[in-house]
Amino acid sequence: MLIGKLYLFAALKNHMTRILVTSLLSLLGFVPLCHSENTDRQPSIADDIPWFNITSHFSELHSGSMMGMAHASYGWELSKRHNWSVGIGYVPELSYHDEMYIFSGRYRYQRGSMYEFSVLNQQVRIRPGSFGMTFISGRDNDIYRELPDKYPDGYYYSTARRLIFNYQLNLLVNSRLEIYWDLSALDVGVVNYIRNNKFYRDNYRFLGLDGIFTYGFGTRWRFK
Amino acid sequence: MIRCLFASIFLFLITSCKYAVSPWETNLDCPQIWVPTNIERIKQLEQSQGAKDHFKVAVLGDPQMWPGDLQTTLEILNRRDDVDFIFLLGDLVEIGIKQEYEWICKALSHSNMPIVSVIGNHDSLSYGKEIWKENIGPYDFSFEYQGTKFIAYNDNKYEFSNVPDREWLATEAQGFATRNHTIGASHIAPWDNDLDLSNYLKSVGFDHMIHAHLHRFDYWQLTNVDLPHYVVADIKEVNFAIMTVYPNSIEIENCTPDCTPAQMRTR
Repeated sequence: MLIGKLYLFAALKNHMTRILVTSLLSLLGFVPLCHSENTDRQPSIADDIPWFNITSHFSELHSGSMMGMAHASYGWELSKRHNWSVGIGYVPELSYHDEMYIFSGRYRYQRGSMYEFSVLNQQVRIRPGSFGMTFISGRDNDIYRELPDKYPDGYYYSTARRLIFNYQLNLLVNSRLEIYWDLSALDVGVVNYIRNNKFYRDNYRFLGLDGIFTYGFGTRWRFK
Repeated sequence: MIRCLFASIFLFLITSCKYAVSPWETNLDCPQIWVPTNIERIKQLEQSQGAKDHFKVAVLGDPQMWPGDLQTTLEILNRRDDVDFIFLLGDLVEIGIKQEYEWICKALSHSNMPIVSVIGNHDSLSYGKEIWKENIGPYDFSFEYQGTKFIAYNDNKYEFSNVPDREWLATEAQGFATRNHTIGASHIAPWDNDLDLSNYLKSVGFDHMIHAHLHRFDYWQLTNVDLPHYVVADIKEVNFAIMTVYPNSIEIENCTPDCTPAQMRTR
């Protein structure tokens, strides 16, 4: 009886964790819809320091690029060029993958230049130059952040913490809403590509980049 | 011009690459490295060639992070017509992620010979154990070729418990007196704190061992145990070994890629 209750408790706890994370992801993704702009903001000292001048806040809902099936993040745009964000991603249990959470910290540099096109009588703006780096940390039993005690010091690097290099093509729907396509390469992929450049060029398309990049897509809402 | 550039980038974005939810996926698609299939190819080779008075096996190890040099090595071996199959002695990847296995798989696809792989310590990291079991094969396996039995075993002590499986090794080595040779293959040679394993392997019938892991060539046997342990260097800058198996002896050459006889030392 007691064991039965414990099982029930464990199952509910697991279920509640999923509900909590899913709710958090949804909130982060849809916060912009409930946000009202504060037009009376007082100038701050940071405004005088160009690099630290927070020009806007934004939130993103992203999928793929090795950051989870759904990844929600919140970020700060500094001087309209430098974007910092933190987020959490969810990887559901699939036939080839355990359930997992991925935490992220991302820096993205975006060039200001934009190009306008007319598509079906609709003006579309594209920002082609957006590059970044994302630090991710996975949470699962088979990967580790700190080297387990059984290994001698320095035997392996962490398998749960990785660096991802991103390129984004941004489509600006209006002054607040963007959708983007994202290409990501893992740290180990970049190292391999540099070391084995001929191998990748010979075996994969697009100068071999096809071999190391994966894609993702997402939407970004700018608060002001 | 700009339109063309955007069109190219967009074309690249939508036609290339894969969608990946995390770096730690396991759904590898690489049928050519499935060990049972490669053992079947080796058996077919034996049937088609008939009995030989000697044969050669290429021994490779530690290609992690160097798929380019692995491909170059395989192309060199393809140009030789005297090597029957390849033993790849572990550490195919560095951190056990699917993408790394895919790159190695791509490099291995350039070989026209059967390749049998033994699991290494790095192969077991992350979800590597799962990837290995589902896409490459068993951790321990054996097969016979031209009167010699090859017994491959997992001895990655940090990543697995109770390895190597000594009972299984003894069972597999049974009948050694009726064969020309019983050759053991593992990623790591007997550890310094477990050198008694060499004695044990000799006592159950092994007469030669091949390993990798050290990233440099080595060839040794213990002063009081008549069991040679050969260690192949990593694949970087094209290193491999050629093992020639005669009915009464085994010769090994270190190749960089030119081959010279390996010199054994006692310890």
